[in-house]
Amino acid sequence: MKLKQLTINQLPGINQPFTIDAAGAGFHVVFGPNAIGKSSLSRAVEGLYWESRGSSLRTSVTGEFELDGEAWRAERDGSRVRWQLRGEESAAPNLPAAHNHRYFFLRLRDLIDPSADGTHDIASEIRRQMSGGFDLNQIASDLFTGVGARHGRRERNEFNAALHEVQKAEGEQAGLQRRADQFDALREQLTSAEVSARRLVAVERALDLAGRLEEFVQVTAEIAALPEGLANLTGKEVEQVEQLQGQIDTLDGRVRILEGQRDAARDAKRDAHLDATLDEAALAIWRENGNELGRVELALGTAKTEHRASQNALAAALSACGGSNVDESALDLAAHGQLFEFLRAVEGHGARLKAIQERLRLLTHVDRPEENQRTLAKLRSFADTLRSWLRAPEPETFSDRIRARRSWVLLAIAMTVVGASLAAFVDPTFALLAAAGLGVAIPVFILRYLNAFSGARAIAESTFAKLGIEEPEAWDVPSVEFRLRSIEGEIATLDARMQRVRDRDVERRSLESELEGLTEMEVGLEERRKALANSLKLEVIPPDAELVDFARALDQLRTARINAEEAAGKVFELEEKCIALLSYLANVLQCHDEVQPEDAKMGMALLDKLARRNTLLREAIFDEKAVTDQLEQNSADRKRSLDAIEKIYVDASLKNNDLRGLTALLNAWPHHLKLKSDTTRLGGQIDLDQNVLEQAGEAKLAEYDRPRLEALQAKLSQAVEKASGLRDEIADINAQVNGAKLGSDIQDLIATREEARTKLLDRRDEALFSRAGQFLIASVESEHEKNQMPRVFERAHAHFSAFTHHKYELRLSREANAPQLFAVELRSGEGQGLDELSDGTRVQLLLAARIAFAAEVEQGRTLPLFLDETLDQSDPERFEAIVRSLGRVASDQERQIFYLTSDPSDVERIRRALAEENYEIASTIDLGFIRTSVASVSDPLLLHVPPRQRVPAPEALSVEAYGVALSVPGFQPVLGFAEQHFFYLLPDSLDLLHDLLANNVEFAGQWKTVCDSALADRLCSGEISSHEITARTELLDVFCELWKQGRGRPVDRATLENSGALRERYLDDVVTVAGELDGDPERLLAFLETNKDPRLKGFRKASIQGLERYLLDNGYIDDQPILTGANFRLQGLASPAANKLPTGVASDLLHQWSILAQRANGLAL
Amino acid sequence: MGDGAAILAIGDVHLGTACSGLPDALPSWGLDPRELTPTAALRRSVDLAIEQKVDAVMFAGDIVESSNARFEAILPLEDAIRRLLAEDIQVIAVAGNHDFEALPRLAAVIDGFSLLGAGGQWEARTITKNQTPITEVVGWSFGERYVRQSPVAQLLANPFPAPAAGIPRIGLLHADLDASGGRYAPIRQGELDNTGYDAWLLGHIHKPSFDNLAASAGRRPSGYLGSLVGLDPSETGPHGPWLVRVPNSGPLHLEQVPLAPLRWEHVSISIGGLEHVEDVPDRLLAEAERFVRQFVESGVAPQALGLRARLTGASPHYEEIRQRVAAGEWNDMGRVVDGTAVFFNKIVDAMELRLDVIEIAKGDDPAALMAQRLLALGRGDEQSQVILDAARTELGPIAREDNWSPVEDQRNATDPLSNDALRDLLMRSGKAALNAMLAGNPEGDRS
Repeated sequence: MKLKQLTINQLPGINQPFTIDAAGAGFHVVFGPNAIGKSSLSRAVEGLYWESRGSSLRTSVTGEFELDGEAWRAERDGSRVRWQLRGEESAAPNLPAAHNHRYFFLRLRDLIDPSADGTHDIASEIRRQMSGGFDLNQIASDLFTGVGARHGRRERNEFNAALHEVQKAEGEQAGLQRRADQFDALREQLTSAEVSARRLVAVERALDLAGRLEEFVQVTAEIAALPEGLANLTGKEVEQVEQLQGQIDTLDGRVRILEGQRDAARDAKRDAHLDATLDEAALAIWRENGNELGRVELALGTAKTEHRASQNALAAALSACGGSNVDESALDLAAHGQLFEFLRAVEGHGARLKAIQERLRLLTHVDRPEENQRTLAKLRSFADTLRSWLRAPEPETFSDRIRARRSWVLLAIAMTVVGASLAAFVDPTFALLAAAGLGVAIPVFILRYLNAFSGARAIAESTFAKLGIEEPEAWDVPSVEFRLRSIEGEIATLDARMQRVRDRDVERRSLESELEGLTEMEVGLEERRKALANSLKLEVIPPDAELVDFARALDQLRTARINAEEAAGKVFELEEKCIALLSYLANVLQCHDEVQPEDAKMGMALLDKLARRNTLLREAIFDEKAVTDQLEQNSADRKRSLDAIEKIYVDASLKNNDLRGLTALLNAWPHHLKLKSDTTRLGGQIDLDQNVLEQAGEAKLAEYDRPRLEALQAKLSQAVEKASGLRDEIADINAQVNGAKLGSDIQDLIATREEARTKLLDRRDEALFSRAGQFLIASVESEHEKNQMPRVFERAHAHFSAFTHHKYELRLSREANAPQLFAVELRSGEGQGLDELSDGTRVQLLLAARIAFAAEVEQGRTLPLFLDETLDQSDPERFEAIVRSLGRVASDQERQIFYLTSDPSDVERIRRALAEENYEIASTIDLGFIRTSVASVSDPLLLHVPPRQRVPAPEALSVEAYGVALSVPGFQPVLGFAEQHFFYLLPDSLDLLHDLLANNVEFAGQWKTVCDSALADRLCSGEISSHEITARTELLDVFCELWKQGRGRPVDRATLENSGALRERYLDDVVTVAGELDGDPERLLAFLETNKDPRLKGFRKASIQGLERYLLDNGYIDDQPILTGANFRLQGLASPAANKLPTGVASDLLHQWSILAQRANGLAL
Repeated sequence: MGDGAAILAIGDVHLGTACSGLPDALPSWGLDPRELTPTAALRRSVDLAIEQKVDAVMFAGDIVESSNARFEAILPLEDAIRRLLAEDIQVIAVAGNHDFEALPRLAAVIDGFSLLGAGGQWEARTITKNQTPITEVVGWSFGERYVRQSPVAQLLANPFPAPAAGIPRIGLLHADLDASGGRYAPIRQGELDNTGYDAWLLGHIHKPSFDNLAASAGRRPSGYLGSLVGLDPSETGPHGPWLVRVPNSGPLHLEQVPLAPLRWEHVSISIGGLEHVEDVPDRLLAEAERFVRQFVESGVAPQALGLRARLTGASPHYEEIRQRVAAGEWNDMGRVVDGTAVFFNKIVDAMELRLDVIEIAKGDDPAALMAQRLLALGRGDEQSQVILDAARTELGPIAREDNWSPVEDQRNATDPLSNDALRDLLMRSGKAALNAMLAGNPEGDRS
């Protein structure tokens, strides 16, 4: 739909009607001063399209349109809009909804709005169309979490820490190894020191030896000067002389004492009055006899006492027996026995007699045998009666009888009845049978009667009743049997009693017979009593009891007599023995001048005295001998002492007894002695020293003088002092080496490091997995977008690329709920949201988006677009780009575009820009002139626009010269391919290069959006196709990546800030230096190391190390090897991009880039 | 030569290190981690040498770890060498890039320990048996940490005189075979072949490259002995010394003795058919047990078996399992089976989606596009390469971030941007994304 004419009769702010005419499609420029009504044009057309838009007051607008070749007219009065088609009222054409107004009426103030709302609706619609029913963003965020800059950083730090630990431990072991490597040298030094130590000992000994030799000479000289006799002295000579003299004096005193003792002994010998000493054995025998005599005398006394007692006992016994006559009787033992036998016979006889008489009396009163006999006979009769009752047969009952004879009765009846019947009815002979039956019946009845009347028991019962004794309780068998057993029991009892009576009768008769015998014996006993009295010469026969006492007295008398005789014998025997012993002692004592003893006591006293005399003699003899011996000894001792004294004087070379001389000599002796001791000591030590030196192989040292030895000692001491330290160090090394060998510290640390490396690998794999997933989803999304990309986005994308000279690309953010449009700078790859874009770029983006969306919503109507000072924020370059693009839009879509501006110079700029696309301005409408009849521009100079600087054509210039003409920046592959000028991509096609540059396509990164554009198709129609250019950019990408290997990344302010290694005061200066060095990290570090720049005075080495560590850790310094030329070329040629290029192109390009890159980095070609 | 000779050849030992990737729970299973170290493996090897009465033991360099080459690693090495010498077993070694400093020091203090080719000069040594030469060993040692030229080229330029007739000649070298450049003595197989030696025993690469083979007339043994024990989970398969039989006549015979106390294996375990997520660990342990029993039955069961498992198959609980795997929830799980402690070092997701990816790929929505990428990656065709190249460009900056640089120094480190690694990464992430797309989009439920 095209606006052909617009008449504004009235609008708020416009009271004077005016009309503008527009001639068909194309770019129309409406210009005029501010407030002339340019914006009212937009509002007027808006009001015609949509009743809801525009003011309802004072509105009167008419518009004529052409749509699909037909004339449409729209009139708006107030809020009412009327449409006419071909002059007739008609419904409005199918216009977009009113809310889409801003896609057709674009105002600057809307396009510079940085809020996201500006594109939200467009972006949401694009997203909705492209989603394909899948929430790919959500899937990507759920499954493939974005890999942030910190991803794996912790694992890397852990690895670095583990690596550091390994390196640290390795370093420590390296240090230990170095120490161990010095081990042999240390051992050598120690050995040398030990040799010195040993030699030092010898030297010290030699020094001692020298001293001792000197001392020895001195002492020897002193000894020689002393008296000769001193040599034989012991130093104790005076003391010895005095001691010996004292001994002599003592011996003389003792001689006198001993002589007195000898005289005393001799006096004692005489006082003993014994010619010789007695034999001690004999003296003991004498003493034993004396003692024996004592014991005999004691026994004799006892025997005499016993003798007297026995005499008294005898007299008493005699008295008990009746006096002295008894003693004279011949009462021997046999008689004595007869007496006792007689007494026992009398006693026994009397007792037996009494017993028999008592028994007979008892037997007489006990028994009554006649009565018992009668009772027994009676009971036996009773029993017989009962037995006969029991033996009688038991009477039968009637039923018993019937039962016992039933068969016979029945037989008889049967025979009688049958016989009678048969006789009556058959044959009379059968009457015999009936008769036979009767014959059987008769005996049967007879027998029954007999039994029934038997009376044996009745007789018995009758008889029993007559006896008058208790009858059985009943006359039946059990009662009768019970009663019979009772009577039989009584009979048995009575029988037994009768038997005992018979036995007592026999006994009585026997006792009576015995009693008669005893009576006869009394006569015999009387005769024996008389005979016994005679034999005992007893005038009166005593009663039997007294006779017993007498017998006993006789027995005692006999015993007393025997005892008296034995006591008398014993007294006699002892008296004989006593006399003999006393006589023996008397003989002995008298022989030794003692008196005769009277008894044992006296004898023993005399023997004691004799013994004392003997002892006195013995001791006197001993003393005399001992004293004599001592006297002899004393004499000998005295002589020895005298000899010793004499020898002392002789040894001292003095006269005998020259005590004064000896004393004087001894005063000098200690000094002599000391000197002698010194010589001995010194001599021994000297010998020892010499032996030691000889054994140590240092005998020659004995010949050295002291100064020489001291010099040697000082030298050796220095060496020895080192030995201890060396020993400690060697031991320490040994201990540490052994510890290290036995340990597993590094092995454990390596294991930890490898585990950390594995974790890092896992994290990398996670990152790659996420990125791979994101890549696939993005790839799918991209392809889907490409295939299914809504026209609106495609158009917006194309417009934006064109508006920005392909320096930016339009993107749609992936936020699911709030998609946003944003721009990506192709050179740097940096994405920027609306609020991050410059106003100009933002206008370009929104303009592109809205124009694109306008086409979407107009549904083929191709409504005019009104741009109200939309490009005021654009610089000339952008202005031109937008106008050229809009010119193409207008041309391609047959669309009217009304550009409203207050700047009349815009007309010329638009004209020039359109001319670049071979378009012209469709119409220029001076609204000021229309409304005021006064031209908006009075001075043509105001319309002058300086021509844009043209890209020089290559013409006949060489490649290099053309590059200079273009002021091409240096080739810096380290910046990446997108930053490289197109000059380096097309050195072989300068015309194409020119065309691209003329279309503002300068850097390789721009090709991404150019490649699929109409521009590419238009420009690349020659030898080099757009596909080849694409392949060349890919090859350049490969080249840049290969080049960067080992070269790290450039350092900028952000890098230096992030390193945290620099102090604030140096940051700016270091950033400046980095810039001067093109951000080369290695050169920067080298520069800092030199520490010569005054700006960096005081810069610390620790900061350099920290910065270096950061740059290493973060890839700014790449420790991979830099690829050599051959490898570089090889890998480049092996890349897929190279394969897409015609033969030789890749090789040539790589060659050229390689040279340029090396040259740019100051490397030798 | 009598009955011929027997030599025990040992590759990289790296004394002074412990194997990484072991679970903390190892002691609770009755296993002392020190019994899994290179030190323990060397002790076993010495036992074997003495038991087999070999004539010599040869080390192909990197006997000790460079970071720990001064003391801790030396004691077990000294002990091993003294034990061998006490049994009249000759000990010959060349120095690798890790022990180029340590071995000369050791050789200087231990009589009988022969360091061959010290200072980067080729040297020949004859192994004798009963005073009779049985084999000649020619070796070269690192004299500095990095050697960028091929030492074999030097040998070819100045060859040794031919040995006595019938005496085989064995090359002993620590080098980087068929590497395109590099700093660890890069050599070419062709160079080795040109020497005409009967065998080349190499150190440096930890994966053994010999087969148990008897060299035929046209095929001389030449390859890596491998590390003595798998030092990390990437060093899979059997590890141990090689018993080299040198017969009186005929080719040499090499046989690996897999006595390493620790073995690593990468296994694939299907979770197909499991109804509950909780069944996964049971399945894993059951499979681990089955795996151990295979080793037990073949008589080569190690003391410890570390597994890296790839979960395969499809599960309705794909996402939950994937998340648990990603969280490492089942890592370090293990048990003791027939005396072998088996554990999972890591479990990675290689599960299939329970979706008809081919059908999904027929559409044009994002899920279809993702499915198309997965199918292309699976095919490995040109489109796959385009995806891989694009991904490599995209992931390159992250992979090359300096933060990860230590990972590149990891033993047996692999390039995460290699086609295989990248394909695996993209497949895993793509499957997860596709699963999430369809799980979160009712309209897109196409399972």
